[in-house]
Amino acid sequence: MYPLTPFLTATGLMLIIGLACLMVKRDMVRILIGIEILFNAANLSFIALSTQTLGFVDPLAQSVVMMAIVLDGTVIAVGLAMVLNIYRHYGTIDIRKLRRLKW
Amino acid sequence: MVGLELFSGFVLPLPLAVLLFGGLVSPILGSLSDRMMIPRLKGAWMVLISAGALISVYMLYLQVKASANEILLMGVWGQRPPLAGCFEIDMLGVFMAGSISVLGLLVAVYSISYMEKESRLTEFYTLMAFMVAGMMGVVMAGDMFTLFVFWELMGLSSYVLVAFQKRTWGPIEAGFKYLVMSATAGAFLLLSMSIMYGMTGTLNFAALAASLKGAPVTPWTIFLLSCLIIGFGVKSAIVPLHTWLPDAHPEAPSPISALLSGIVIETGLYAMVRVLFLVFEPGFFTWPMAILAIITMSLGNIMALLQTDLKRLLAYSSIAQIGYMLIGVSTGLSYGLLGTFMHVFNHSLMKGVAFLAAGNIVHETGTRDISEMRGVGRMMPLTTFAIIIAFLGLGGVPGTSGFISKLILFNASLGAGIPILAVVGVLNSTLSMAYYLRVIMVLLDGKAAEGMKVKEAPLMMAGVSLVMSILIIALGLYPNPIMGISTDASEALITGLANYIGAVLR
Amino acid sequence: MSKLFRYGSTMSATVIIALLLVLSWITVEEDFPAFQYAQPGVRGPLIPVEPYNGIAENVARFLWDHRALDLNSQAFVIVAAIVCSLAMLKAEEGET
Repeated sequence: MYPLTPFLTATGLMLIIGLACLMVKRDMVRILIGIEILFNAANLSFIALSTQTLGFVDPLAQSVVMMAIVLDGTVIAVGLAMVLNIYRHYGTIDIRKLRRLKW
Repeated sequence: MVGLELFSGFVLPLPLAVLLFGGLVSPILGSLSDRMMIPRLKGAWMVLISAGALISVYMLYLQVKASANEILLMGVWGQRPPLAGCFEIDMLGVFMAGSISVLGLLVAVYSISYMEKESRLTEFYTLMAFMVAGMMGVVMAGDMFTLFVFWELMGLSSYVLVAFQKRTWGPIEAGFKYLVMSATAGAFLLLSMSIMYGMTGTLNFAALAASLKGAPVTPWTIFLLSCLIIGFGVKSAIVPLHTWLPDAHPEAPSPISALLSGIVIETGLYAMVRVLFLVFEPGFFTWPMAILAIITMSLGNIMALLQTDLKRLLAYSSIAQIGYMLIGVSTGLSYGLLGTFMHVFNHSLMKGVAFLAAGNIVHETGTRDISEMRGVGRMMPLTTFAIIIAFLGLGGVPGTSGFISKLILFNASLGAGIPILAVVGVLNSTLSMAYYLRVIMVLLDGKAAEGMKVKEAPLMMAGVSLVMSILIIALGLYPNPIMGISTDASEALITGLANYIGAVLR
Repeated sequence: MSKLFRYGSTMSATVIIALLLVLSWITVEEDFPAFQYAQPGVRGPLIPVEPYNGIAENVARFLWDHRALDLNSQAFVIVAAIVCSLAMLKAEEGET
C-alpha cells in the first residue's frame, strides 16, 4: 500500500503549476499545454487512489484515466485548430494581442 | 422500455439513440447532398432527427409517469450497476430532455433558412446534432463518468459552433477564450470526481448519495464543494467564472446563440444541482449559493445597462437569469427547485425567441448595434412582436410565463428564510426592464423609419419566432401543464431520493 | 474594466500563492479519508497485484465487461472531434 500524501502533494503541485502556466504565459500553445497539465493532475490522483487497497489494484480508476486521456486529447486538438485560424487573422500567437473584444 | 435495444439486454434511451445515430449519419447525407445538388437535405435531416427526439422524449415521459414516477434504469451493458455505467431517468431528467428537444427542434427549423448561404453546412448540422445529443446524455446520466463523457461531447461541439464563421476575427477569438476556460473547468471536474471516488470507491450517483450524504463537514468536503462549483460553474456562467459568455454568445451565429443561451448553460446548472443535491445536505451549500446568486444577478443586470450591442446585451441578461435560477437552488426546498426548473424551461423559450428575433434583425440589416436599428421594428412587425413578448417575459410582466416562475422563486426564498434574495431579485427585475424597454423604444422609433428599405425576415425565421412567442403567452395564461410536470420533477430530486437510490442499489 | 488588466500579474500571483497555502495545509494537516465512506458491496472486483504482468489484461477485461457504454460514447466524442477539426480547417467556398 503506497502512502497517499506524496501523491496528493504532487497533484496539488501540478494543479498550481498548470494554473500558473495558464495565467502567466503569453503563447497560446503554452496555454494549451497548461490545460493538459491540469488534466494530468486529476489523472495522477485517480491512479494514486487505485493503489490504496493492500495487495490489490482497483481497475475502475485506471479505466477512468484511460478514457480521460482521450477526451482531453480531443479538446487540445480542436484548440490547436483554433490557434491555426487565429494565426491567419492576427499574424501572431501572443494572447495579449487578443484584446479586441472588450466590455 | 422506450429504448433502442441493441443486444443482450443493453437498452439505449431512444432520444439519445436517435440523436447520436442521426448525427453519425449526417456527414454521409451531407456529402451525398453536395453530390446530388440538393442543398436542403442536410437541414431537413436535422429537423427530422430533432422531431424524432421530441416524440421519443414524449413517449419516455408517458412511461415514467405511468409507473408512478418510478426511476428508469437503462443502458446497462454488462454487469449491473453500481459498477457499470448506466442511465438513470427520473421525472427531472425527462423534464430537462423535453426542454432540450423542444428548443432543438425550433432552432433546427430556424437555421434552415438562416444558414442558407454559409459554407461547411454538413459540419454545422452534424455538430449541432452532437451538441444536442451530448446535452441529452448529460441529463440522463446515472453515473458520474457517463456525465463527464457527454459533458465533453457537448462542450467540444459548442466550442467549434461558436467559432463557426471563421471569416472574421471575432468568432475565433471568442471561441478560443471559451475553449480555454471550459477545458480548465473540465479538468477541475475530473479532479472533483477523483476526490469523490477517493472517499467512496464508486462513481455511481445512487451509491454516492447512499455513502456521502450526512457526512460531517471536513476541509476535504469544502474543497470538494469548491472544485464542483468551479467545474460546473464555468459552463453555467456563474460570476466570477462568466467572462467567456459576453464574448462567445454575440459572436456565434444566431441559432447557435439561441441554443447556447437557452439550454446549454441551463444544462450546466442542472448538472450542478443534481450532483450537489445528491452528495451534500442542502443546508451545507445554502449560503455559498445565496451569495453567488446575489453577485450573479447584480453583475449581469448592471453590465447589461451599459451595452450598445444587441446580442451582447442579451448575453449579459442570460447571466442575470442564471442568478435568478440560483435563488431556487440555494433554498434547498422542493418549492424552490420548482421555481428553478420552471424558470429553466421558460428562459429557454424566452431567451431563444429573443436571440432568434435578434438574428432576424441582424440578417436583414447586417448590424448588431442598437443605435443603428432605429425604426427597424416598424418594418418587421412579426419580429418586433416576438421580441417585445420575449422582453416582457424576461422582465417578469404578468401574463407571460416568466412572471410565474419568478413569483415562485421569490416566494420560495421568503419561505426558506432568506428574504434578502427576494429583495435583491425584485430590485434586479425592475432594473432589467430598463434596458429591455430602451431596446423596444429604439426599435419602434417612428421618425427614423421613413424611407427605410428593410423588409420582414424570411417566412421560416419569422414564423418560428411567432410560434415561440405565442407559446410564451399561452403558458403565461395557463401554466398548469408545465407546473404539474415541474412539480413532479422537483420532488423527484428531494423527496424521491430514496426511490432513486433504491432503483440502483436494490 | 480595462484598468483591472493592469493588475493582472499581481492578481494571478495572489491566486497562486493562496492556492499554494490552502493546498499544502489541506494535504499535510488533514488526512485524506481514503475509502472511509465506502458502502459494502459497491466496490467491484479488485485485481491482485501478484502476477504482475497480468494487470493490464485484467484492466482491459474490466473495461470491456463493465464500462463498454462509456467506451462507445468515447468513440462518438472522437468522431465529433474529427468533424470539429474539419469544420475549423476547411477552406470556405469563395476563398482560395
